[in-house]
Amino acid sequence: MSAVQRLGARLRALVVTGLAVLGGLALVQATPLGPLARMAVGKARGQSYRGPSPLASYRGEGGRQYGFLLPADEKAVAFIAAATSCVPVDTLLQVARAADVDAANLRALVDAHAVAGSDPCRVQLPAPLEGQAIELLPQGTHREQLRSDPELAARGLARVLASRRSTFASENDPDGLALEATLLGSEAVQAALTVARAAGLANAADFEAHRQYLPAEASALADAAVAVLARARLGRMLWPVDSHFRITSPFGDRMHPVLKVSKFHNGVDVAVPVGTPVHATLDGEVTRAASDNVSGRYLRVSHGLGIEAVYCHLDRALVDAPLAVHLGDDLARSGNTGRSTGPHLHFTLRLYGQPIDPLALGARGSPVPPAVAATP
Amino acid sequence: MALFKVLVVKLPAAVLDGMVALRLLTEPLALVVLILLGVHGAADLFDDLLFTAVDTADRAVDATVRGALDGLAGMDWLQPDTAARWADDEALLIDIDRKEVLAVSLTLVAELLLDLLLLLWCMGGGADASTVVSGASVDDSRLIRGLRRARTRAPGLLRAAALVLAFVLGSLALGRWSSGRVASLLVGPDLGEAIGDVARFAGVLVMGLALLTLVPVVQRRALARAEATTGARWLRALVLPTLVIALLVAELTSGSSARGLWSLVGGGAA
Repeated sequence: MSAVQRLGARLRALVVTGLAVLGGLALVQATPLGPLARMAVGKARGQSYRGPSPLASYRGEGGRQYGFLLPADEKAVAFIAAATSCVPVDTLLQVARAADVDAANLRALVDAHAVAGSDPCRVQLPAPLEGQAIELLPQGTHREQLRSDPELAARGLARVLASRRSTFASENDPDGLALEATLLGSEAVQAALTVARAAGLANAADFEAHRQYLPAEASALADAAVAVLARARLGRMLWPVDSHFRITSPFGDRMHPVLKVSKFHNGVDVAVPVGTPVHATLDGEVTRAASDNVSGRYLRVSHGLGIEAVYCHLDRALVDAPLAVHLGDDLARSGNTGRSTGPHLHFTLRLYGQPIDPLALGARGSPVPPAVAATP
Repeated sequence: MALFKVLVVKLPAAVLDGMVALRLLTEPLALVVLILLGVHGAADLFDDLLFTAVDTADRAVDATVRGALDGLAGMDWLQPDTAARWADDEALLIDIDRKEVLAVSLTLVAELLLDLLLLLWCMGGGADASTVVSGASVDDSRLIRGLRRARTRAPGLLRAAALVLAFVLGSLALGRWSSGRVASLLVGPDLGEAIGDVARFAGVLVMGLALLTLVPVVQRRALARAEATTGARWLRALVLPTLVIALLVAELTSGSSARGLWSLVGGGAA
């Protein structure tokens, strides 16, 4: 073999070996084979597996399923369901307006750091956030004051949010990025945005898009931050139909109108005439437009961060999957399809796969519709 | 000087010679991982199809059960309201969430089965047309005989087309994945748009190397047998034009909202 031929063979072998290694890494990270292999190894060692589900890569979540990774879904559901911070809503709104920050973000931060227990109105901030808040509050503010006065803590958080917001003022979603930076650090978020844009992602400002590019130390925090970010996003939710329509069946246990037994109702029923416009409650993507024996014609919309909404018993859908939608977009006309006792919209809201009560969250721009006892 | 020569010349040469010696292992391994990546890229198509199939089956079961219960009520073997209640019982009707999980689970199973099938075809690609189901005997289990049959008797063109398609998709997927990884490794120095250019170049380089380096392996394992069984000697000549067309299509669709088959190809970093 000549020297040239030998060189060619060596180069070819190097390339092929490199491809085998790269391909193996891609298989582990981007396909179900990786989680399956880790599950098998964990089982052989007698350890429980806490990574992404093998099914997650089909759900368009880039292999991550937040609900699976959170310490307990109940925790996220619990603090979302509470939805009432120890600081009165009016006060929070005043504080948010004064600091020119998104009220939903501020509320999510206060809710996240509210301490449950004997004194549920105590807001206990982590030390770094506490320090930043004190720096931005009037001189002379002490940690003890911050810990004993929830309203003062809220004002401190609002100022931290406002300072972060100025860093991202030129971005598409300065409020969302400000919240993220408050939790993960401005430098980490900025670095992730830069890399995401360099990777050619048009929606780099979305948390899900640039999450994978967060530096390692911030990436570890991101799992814990997802619940807060989701809570803030839910705080901007719009009601799917006009708020004057009556709610006939709220979320939770109820007497089933057909089966005459007590059953858990995983959503809210709103009595609306056939043909009533149904709107998108948040920005998101239609992931399925289909028909079902139980739910009739329905739409499933993913809003990111583990948030999902399902609109059931529709007369007709005006959109199809996949399609990006924006808050307030016209999605469908309500109907009476599927297993239904009358024209109504069944609206289900899920967080990390768990149904949550949309009434407890309220809806931006409209008061919470009055709930009426279900009529048989 | 001697140490320098060893570290810079002889050691790398020895490593590369080792890689050359392992060629018989690394070549099929590289092809296998690309095929598996390609199958996963195509699996997005299965999800919706399987959901429709599950939904259709659910409707059929519901209709059958409801008909049977109505029949029993008609014969006075059951109270009409009891029959209606049982027909509406949620145990008979699978809700959306269970159907979703079922469909996605079936997608995973389908992908794994397709992986197995393509791997069998790929591993058996070196044999010529005269190879029979060798080694099989009445003592072999039905499973073994079935696997041998699947490996050797699939239509040549179908097998070749499936392997080539999976290989091409996998190469494109690996290119995109590599582009994303390179971009993430460049965190730190603020290179701005240069990061994107470097990452995209890296992705195209990986994709190109995968396609060009492993084409002879694909020809040997997939197309040679197809040519032998079908007599179509022109199959191997089709590979490069097909690859060029596939690359052009992938480039034209990348960055669009196209999903399914092109989600890994055109969707940015994995």
